[in-house]
Amino acid sequence: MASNATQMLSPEVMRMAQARERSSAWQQTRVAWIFIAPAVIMVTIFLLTPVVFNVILSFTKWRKFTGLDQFAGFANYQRLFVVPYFSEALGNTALWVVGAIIFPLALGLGLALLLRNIPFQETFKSLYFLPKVLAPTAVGAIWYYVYAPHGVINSAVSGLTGSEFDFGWIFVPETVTLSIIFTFVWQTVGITMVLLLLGLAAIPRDPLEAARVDGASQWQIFRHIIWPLLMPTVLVVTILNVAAGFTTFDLLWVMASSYPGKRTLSLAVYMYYESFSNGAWAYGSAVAVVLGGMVITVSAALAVVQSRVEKSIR
Amino acid sequence: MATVTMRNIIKIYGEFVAIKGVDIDVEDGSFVVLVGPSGCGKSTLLRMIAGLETISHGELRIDDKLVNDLPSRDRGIAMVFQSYALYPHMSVSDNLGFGLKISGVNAGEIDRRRDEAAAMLGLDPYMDRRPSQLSGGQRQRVAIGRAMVRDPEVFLFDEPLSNLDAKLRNQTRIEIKRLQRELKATVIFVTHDQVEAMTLADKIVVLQDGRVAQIGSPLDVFERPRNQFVAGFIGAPSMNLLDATVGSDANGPLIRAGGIDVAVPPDRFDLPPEGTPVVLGVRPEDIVPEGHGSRPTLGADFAAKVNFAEMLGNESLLFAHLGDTEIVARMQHPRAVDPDETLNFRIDGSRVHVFDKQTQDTVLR
Amino acid sequence: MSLSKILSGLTLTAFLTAGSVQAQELKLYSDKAEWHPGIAAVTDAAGAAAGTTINVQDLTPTDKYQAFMQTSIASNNVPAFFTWWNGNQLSDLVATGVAADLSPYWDQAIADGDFSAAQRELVSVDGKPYGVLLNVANWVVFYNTKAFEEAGIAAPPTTWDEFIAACDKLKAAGYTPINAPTTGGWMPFIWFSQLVLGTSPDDFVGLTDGTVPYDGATVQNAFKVWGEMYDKGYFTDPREQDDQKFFVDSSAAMFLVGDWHSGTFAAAGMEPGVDFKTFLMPALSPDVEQSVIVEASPIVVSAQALSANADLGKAVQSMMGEQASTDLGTEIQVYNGNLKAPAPNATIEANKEMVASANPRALVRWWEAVPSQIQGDLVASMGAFMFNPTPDQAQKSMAEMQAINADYWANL
Repeated sequence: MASNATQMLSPEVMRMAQARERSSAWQQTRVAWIFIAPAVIMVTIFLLTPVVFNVILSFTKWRKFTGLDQFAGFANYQRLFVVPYFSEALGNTALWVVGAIIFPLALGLGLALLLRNIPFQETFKSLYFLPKVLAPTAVGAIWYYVYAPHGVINSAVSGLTGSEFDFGWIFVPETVTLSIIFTFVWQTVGITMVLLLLGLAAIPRDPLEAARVDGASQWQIFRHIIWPLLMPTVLVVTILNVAAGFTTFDLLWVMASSYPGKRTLSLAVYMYYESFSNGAWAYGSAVAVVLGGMVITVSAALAVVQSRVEKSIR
Repeated sequence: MATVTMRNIIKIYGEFVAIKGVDIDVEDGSFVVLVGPSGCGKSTLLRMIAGLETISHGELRIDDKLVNDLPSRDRGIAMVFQSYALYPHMSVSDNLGFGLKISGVNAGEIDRRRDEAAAMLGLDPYMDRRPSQLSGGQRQRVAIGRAMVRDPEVFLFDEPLSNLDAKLRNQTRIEIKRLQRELKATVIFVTHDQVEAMTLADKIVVLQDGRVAQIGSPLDVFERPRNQFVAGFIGAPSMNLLDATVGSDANGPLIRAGGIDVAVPPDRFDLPPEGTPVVLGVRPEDIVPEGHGSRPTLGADFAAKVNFAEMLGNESLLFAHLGDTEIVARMQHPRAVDPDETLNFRIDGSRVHVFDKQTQDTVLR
Repeated sequence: MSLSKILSGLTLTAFLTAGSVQAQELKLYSDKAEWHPGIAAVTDAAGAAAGTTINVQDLTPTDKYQAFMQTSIASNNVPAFFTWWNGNQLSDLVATGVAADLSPYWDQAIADGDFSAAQRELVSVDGKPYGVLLNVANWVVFYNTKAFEEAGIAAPPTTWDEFIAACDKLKAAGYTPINAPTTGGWMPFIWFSQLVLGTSPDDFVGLTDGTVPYDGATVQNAFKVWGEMYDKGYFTDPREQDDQKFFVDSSAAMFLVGDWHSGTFAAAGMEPGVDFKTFLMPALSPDVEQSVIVEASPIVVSAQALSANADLGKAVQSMMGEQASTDLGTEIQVYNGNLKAPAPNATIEANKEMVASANPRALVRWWEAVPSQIQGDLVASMGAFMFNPTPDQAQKSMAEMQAINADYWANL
């Protein structure tokens, strides 16, 4: 490069040209920084600072009013493996994560494929999207009455069978998590579907027609063309839902308010319970750090996969 | 290879009739080009043959077998799309092999046919690349290769050259023609470019507004356009069309247009009675500037001021007025023409066309 | 800067949305939003007496309020006044040194005849009082007078056998004998602690200080009786979320709860002393001493605020005066125990007399007495039994509770 430049231009002209280019580059980045600065400041104050604070807390002995200035080392982290609740909460969270990946995706994809080519699809889209705009606590309150002993589901079953049915969906360990996951799916399937519809719309029509002419059946077209091309969207949806599955709290807290095993229904609930109900702030912070670490790790791994897939099909 | 027969094919979208009853016969091993301006229905017709659009009415046969309701995959066709329509997530190799793989052809056979196509198209160095890593011309060849490996009864091409630059377009055009000859393939090729149509086709089908305007060999369509539309569409620049009336003098029939009388051969036309308004069609090469090419024996002279000269190197196009109509003439072995220079021209009366004013159909005998 | 100072600073930015305590404007923090009118009347008068203004700042629900107070106190940022709980909750707080010793004001109030020395004990830690009484409630059994009449129960039960007989009669008359909600996850302790108390008041106290195990003979007996009562269908569906629904709709005949609840029954249309009356829950056997749970809510004063402003003493005196008690009764039908003031309604009046004549042993509620760090875990095990009242679950709950209890006292 240098030899090329020195052949072409005198040193003086070269120097002036480079100075001009540098100053205009700075002009542009300076403007960029002015626009970015508020966001950077906000993120630092409201996001990064509490995170750092939380990590520090997890190494203290803070419980209720005292222990904030006492260093506990890894005691809070060791305790995670001593009490049975953490592993219980972890197990339920795993159920949530798996449920949050599979169900909204399967249902959302089914609806998206169905709605792609039917009349009034805008109406249906809005309808399916509606639950997402409701606050989780409102959704929890509504679904509490769906699952209540004399709620919608049990009344329907009673009506159909003609005999009194009052199963406690959200009061027994066998069904509480699945029932609330179902509510989560109900709330999430709309946005998942809309995102998948956008992903489907971004797939060019020609390769699909080419596959038809190439002899592919509908299923083969989906399996070999649509699904691989939709994969980046599927992964984006998965990242969003995984994060939601890991951190789910509001629905559980509202719907399972009287369920005795509430504290271990998810790691987020367990974290809140230990901190806010038991005053075990340092220990709750340790739960939060572990939970945050898991969410970041899984999301980052998925994001890497997503960008690879994205690159591979463009 | 196979024949394709279309009988009274109709396509409607709601109230709109896109294809209005088309009859076309495609002979075995022939290269048929569907040509027409955008919106004439040529792509729709091709997609109906491919099975990508339903056939509203009529019969479509491939090798005498009625295929109206057969899905694409059972019609024995392969198609090359304007956008190439390669599978973006698959390598070139997988793009070529996809159709064979899903129809359960064994791996050895897939490899054999794929290698054969790749060799014919010069794709060997690119087999592991993805479409995004290829140039437009390379993609086009992959698209053609994908059609070839399936060894179809009929090849369908939907404006396959329109996304290529001019030079590549010419090369690929020649290559397609060569391949078709080698494979003895039946090809139906859609284009809006009449040059492509002329150079590639064994048989040209000119479509106008959902109807067949004319079917014939390239020369036939060029020399004997059946109506004003075909006359105007085929040939570049377009045929000059002038309002005229039928007349005669001692030497025989003539056509009176723009203040001059163009003598025409007595046996070329079934002319209506004298005084009838007609349309005179003259190709630009049949308006000969004085001193540029041999002087037509039969014809009419006129002098006109050249408004504008478009120089192409091997020839020039001269724009002038004959009466009230702007005409274009072709100047062989061109020289520089000054603006507003007045030149003498001679119309070759033996090669002009005459169209009925009402029906716009030719009165050529 | 020390770690705690850095953290205090961070706590402020990260956690606190409300302003800090200012010299001019004083605040009383409370999680009892439904009592706001009464508390505001008390603070208005108290502020006026001290020549300042005291505003009530409500913060609900209770767990959020406790979290707020814990972070505030941990970062040494204490409001001038705040409502609190007695028992273990109060001793934890006093250990931090933020609560003012109110001995002079209590001495004065006792001398003036406003309060008794026994009442002083309700808010005392190691003999010193650290709170002004906001509410003193006796835990009694509310009963539906019409249901008792229909079931042919002439007088409220005074022994366990009479109580069981009454339950059977109510059951026969088509009533569910006892409303036993689990609302909010804390209510399951009510019948657990009552049955322990009815078996042995000493063991009841021992449970809360680590000297009696949660799987010992007394607790085993309590679970056995509790399970039998469930078997006989004495209790309402624990899945109902409205804690007083079955009582106010007259499907359940009895409800063991603090008598501050009389106000909410009244608000739901039941007239105190007419539609419902109360009785003291008898012990499980005549050998066992009669006892009563007394729930006392104190208002705590910041030691820092009181030493910074001597006039605040006048505010404390005002809060302990007859007028403050009357205001609470009038506004919210809550009784703070002031001996000169009238009881706010017939039920509370009756309870007062009932307790005075029976002279039962008064005990702090299990909820306040037990270390708050484990109360949630323990009550969850009680709740699990209410949802599944089988002997197996009883054993499981007891084992869980004892494990939690032992772990806590071992690692104190």
